[in-house]
Amino acid sequence: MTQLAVGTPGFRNRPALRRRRAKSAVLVGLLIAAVVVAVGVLAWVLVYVAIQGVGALNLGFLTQTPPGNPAAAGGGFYNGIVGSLIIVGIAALIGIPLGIGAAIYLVEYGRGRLADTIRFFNDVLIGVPTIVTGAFIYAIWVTRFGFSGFAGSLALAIVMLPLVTRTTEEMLRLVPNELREGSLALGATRSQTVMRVCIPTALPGIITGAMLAVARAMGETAPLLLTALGNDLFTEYNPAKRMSTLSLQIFDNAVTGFQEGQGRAWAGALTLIAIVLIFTFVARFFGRRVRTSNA
Amino acid sequence: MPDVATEPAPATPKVDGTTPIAEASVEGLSIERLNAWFGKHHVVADVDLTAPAHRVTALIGPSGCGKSTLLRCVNRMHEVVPGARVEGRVMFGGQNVYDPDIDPGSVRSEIGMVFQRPNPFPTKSIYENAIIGVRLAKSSGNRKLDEIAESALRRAQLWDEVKDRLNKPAVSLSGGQQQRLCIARAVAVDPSLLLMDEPCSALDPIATFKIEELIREIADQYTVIIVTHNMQQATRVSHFTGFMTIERAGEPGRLVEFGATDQIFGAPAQAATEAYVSGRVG
Repeated sequence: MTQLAVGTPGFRNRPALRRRRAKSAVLVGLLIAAVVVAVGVLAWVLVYVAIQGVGALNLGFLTQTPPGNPAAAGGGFYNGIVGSLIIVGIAALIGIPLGIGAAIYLVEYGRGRLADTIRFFNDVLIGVPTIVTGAFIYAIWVTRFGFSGFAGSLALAIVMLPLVTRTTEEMLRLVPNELREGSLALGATRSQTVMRVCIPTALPGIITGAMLAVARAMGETAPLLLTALGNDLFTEYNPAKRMSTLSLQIFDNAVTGFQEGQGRAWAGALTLIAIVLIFTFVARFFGRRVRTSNA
Repeated sequence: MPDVATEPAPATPKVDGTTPIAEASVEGLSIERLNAWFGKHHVVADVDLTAPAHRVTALIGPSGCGKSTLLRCVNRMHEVVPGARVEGRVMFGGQNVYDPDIDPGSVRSEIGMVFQRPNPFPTKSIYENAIIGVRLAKSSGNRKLDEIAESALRRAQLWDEVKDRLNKPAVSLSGGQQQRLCIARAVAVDPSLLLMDEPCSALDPIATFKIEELIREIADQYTVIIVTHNMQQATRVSHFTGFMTIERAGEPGRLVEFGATDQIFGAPAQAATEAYVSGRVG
């Protein structure tokens, strides 16, 4: 039985193993630190905006237009809330279906040079500064038809389009090919396969992507300065006229230098975050319902 | 069982299990001088093969010999892959499935397919998976979906296990149950031929046993062609066996020998077949 002693495993920590453990611990520590910083900054922003904004946030803020004098107290951003919802709503109606359609083409049908070219320009479009988009709409639309909420929607639709295309494309690529083949092998056409199998499978991700684009559009200010322009005199419901948005009002009030105006700007920021959060929750809930019921 | 397949498709065996042998499918399926490519890569060469009606035909051979490709040529699934190409004829029900007038979708709803890995649709319930082919491919009319679902799940021997949770997601089932659900999904559209591409390779022995039992049972209603890696499985489930191989890497796969399963495994005519089935090669 002497051979046994030779082969007896040593359970003691050899130096190499100890070094490996130490390295692993350091890396895990760095990862935890990264998470804490990332989440911490986000929480800081949210809490800070909430603390600053909650003072000026009341029923009047949500139902009144701003006072004529930015130094005056009271008034609210009702017209901006209405403007944001209308402008971003129209932008979403244009940008989201186009983006999803483009992504379906790229993933399910597109091959070769045309698809590669579209994908390339889509990536370029993601990187275009939004003020450039605003200037573009100013040049081709506003110079002819004047400032309007709809011009703002066009600019925001162009901002949203490549984001929706990219996220939808990535979600559709995650749908296993076996599911497409399973559907085709039942005699389904390509379009039936896309509509009944691929889209429902990718739906939660597509909705998340669309909501990110909506959130992005909600916060955009620069392109709206050149298109929707803003209107703080009264509440405008007609997108053919110039309109205010929450983001424009936050900007206008924040730069006044008056404490009352800045208070309204903080309250506006808080309102903006709340609207985006509500949209995201509703969309997720709705998406889950659609996905599990029929689709 | 109620007659649920009342649509007037003359050459289709009925879903009710009464197995009226459709005249057109009596000869089964015959593959004539079939060649297949992926791009420039020639993967299947000059295959002639006849799979008799209402029998199980197994295709065996080493990995990469083109047996799965050959199977996918039968229901025109090969061409779904970009760059894939087929030449030759696949005669079924008196028609060449590669006839230019024939729509691939109609071929695929007549020739069902079960894949290597169970692939039920994850967003859909057990019930919806069972009937989705009917909803997708055939104009639904006022066919009774509930009856089709029950009949298909019964034939896949899954009904007793799922009848109380038909609305649960398909992915809540075990792997073997998922594969039987995929078989139910395939038979629900009333095919006359079933293609199975290594249907048990992702399953444990007990689930495999159930699927094999099922294959033997449905063979009196359907013509079955099964690709398998497992030679024991071929001897257990099939009546006829075709052995495919490649001479060396890069060469196309060819059908070396075809015959009754007993003969292929007991007294193969070709030396290559003998080497493979005796375990000396592959």
